[in-house]
Amino acid sequence: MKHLFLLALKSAWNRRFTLSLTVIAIALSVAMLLGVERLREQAHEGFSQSIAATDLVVGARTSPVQLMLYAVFRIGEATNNMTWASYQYITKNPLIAWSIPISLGDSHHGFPVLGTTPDYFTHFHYGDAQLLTFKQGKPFKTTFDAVLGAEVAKQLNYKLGSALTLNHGMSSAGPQHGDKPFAVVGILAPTGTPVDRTVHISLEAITAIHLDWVAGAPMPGFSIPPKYVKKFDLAPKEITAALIGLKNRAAVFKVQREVNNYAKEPLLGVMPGVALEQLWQVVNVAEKSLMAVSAMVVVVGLSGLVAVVLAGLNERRRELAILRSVGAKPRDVFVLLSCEGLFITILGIIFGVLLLTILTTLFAPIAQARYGIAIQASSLSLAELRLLSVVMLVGLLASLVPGYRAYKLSLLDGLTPRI
Amino acid sequence: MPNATSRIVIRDLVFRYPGMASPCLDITSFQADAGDRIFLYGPSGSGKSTLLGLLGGVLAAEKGTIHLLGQDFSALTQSQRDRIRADHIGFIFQQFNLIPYLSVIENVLLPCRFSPRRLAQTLSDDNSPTLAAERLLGQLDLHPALWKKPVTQLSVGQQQRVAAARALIGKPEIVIADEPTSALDADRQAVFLDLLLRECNNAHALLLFVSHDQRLATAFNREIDLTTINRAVTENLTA
Repeated sequence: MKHLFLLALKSAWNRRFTLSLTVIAIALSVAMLLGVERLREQAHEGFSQSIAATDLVVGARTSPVQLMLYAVFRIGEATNNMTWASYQYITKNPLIAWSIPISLGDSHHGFPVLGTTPDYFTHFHYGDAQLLTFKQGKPFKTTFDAVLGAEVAKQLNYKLGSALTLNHGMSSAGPQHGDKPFAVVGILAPTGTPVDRTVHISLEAITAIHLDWVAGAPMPGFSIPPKYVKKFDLAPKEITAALIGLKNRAAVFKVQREVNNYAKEPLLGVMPGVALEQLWQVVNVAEKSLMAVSAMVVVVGLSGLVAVVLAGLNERRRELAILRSVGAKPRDVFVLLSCEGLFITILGIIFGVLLLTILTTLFAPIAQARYGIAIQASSLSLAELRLLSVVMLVGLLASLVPGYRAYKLSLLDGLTPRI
Repeated sequence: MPNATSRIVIRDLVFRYPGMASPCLDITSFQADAGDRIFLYGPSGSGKSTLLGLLGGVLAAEKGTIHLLGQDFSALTQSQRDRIRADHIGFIFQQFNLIPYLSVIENVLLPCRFSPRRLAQTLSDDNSPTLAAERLLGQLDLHPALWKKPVTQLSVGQQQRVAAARALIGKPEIVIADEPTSALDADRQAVFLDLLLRECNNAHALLLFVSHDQRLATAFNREIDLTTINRAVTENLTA
């Protein structure tokens, strides 16, 4: 067997220029397949890592997925807010251990601005129930303090003490809250979650910057300078959503029911896990089609392999006859040709994985910055290994085609090929 | 009863390709012994390739028997016949005898890869298979400088000598040469033939030399016209 492998290797090496194109095709298709799988895995991972230890997310009534998307992942915008009074009423429930109000809607250079209370820094969990940690500085204390996520500080090159102004709405082309600058008092350590891309300010600050605003625009001819905002009541009227942690997990359905049945305002309480599951169901269709397309591309790559090896076969009938004359069995010829396809598949897979590793290393920072998806050039996951072994298996089956053809030819030709 | 020393014995052999109405080979009797240097004259269409296929065991007879070194081919499987070919027969063809992606030495050593017996027999005279290959190449007047060259850069005559070394390595009992000189000019034909005959003598191998060029026949101790022993040809011609 060993000498057949060597023979197949030498033969393939002899035709390396033709075969390398096939290797490239397979490598590209494998890289694509793995890339899609890795993106999928890491998006799932990213989403599930974004929130932990939170039992309920509460907001104005909408779809659970929608609520999760804007309240936790900062994707899209809230259509409705919930009143501060409702929030206060609901969180009075003795079953509740902690709660974090969040108020969204403004932005800074495209990064979402989140108004909250200092509780955010003591109760918000991500990943495997980790708390946020400060790389520098401390939580906000006064009205115009801001705490930056790691990515915000890194990209905009902000340090402690840097001044920044906010935009109204999510567009950086929208109206400015230019008259009320904030100072950076804290920068969080990286988390690999949307927190990294968030500017945190107090709920009071959200009220303060909108004091002189009406219906989403500055009141013409009227402006309140920052030093006077303290004279106004800065207690929030509305918030976007609230994250709630319970003393006892088992009570989650009870609290959820109370939220959903709250009479004064239509509210929605969702369990993050359940909402995520729904989100996956939505995304699943897209993922499946992407996977199907990538699988097709792999099949195209492997068909190319079969075509190239088969096309070369006719010119090699003399070679096969020589091998027969020195004692090769038709079976050996079969193994020889099948090995060749197998080598190409293996090489394609190796180069595909290498290619993907290079690409992810190159593009991980961009994906992190633009989409908040942390792609790691990690070692192969179990699911990826499973995919690769399927590719390998299909490659092996495909390689049997030229192997069988060569077997038939060598039986037909014997020692004297009829070319 | 075939002679025990006979290396090839053919009796009442009939062979027909699938789908053909009449047989293309019909040989009543043929026998070849160890010391024979047989010149087998066969113009194209005389069933030459078919006979070689049958002797090499890649084709199976429809009727009759072929004994190679006392073994009855008709009683053997394809795989067993492949083994006998690997172990006992060295082939040289007209041209393009060599595997282009193997070195000269690797080409010579090919039979040893498929036949443990021939691998073992290289060690009876030489310390290693490679040394056996080099010795044969030297005896066939192929200069060591050429051994390193890609086989595709060798001249046709040089390639045929490499093929001869390959046919002879591991001392097979039978060497079958199918028009090995037809691609060579007259001078080189004579040189090649001398070398081949000498090496077959050294190896005590039966040489079956097939050609349509009857001028070469004088160097051999037996001359057989395939058209006369193959009744299928005679019938076809008279029909």
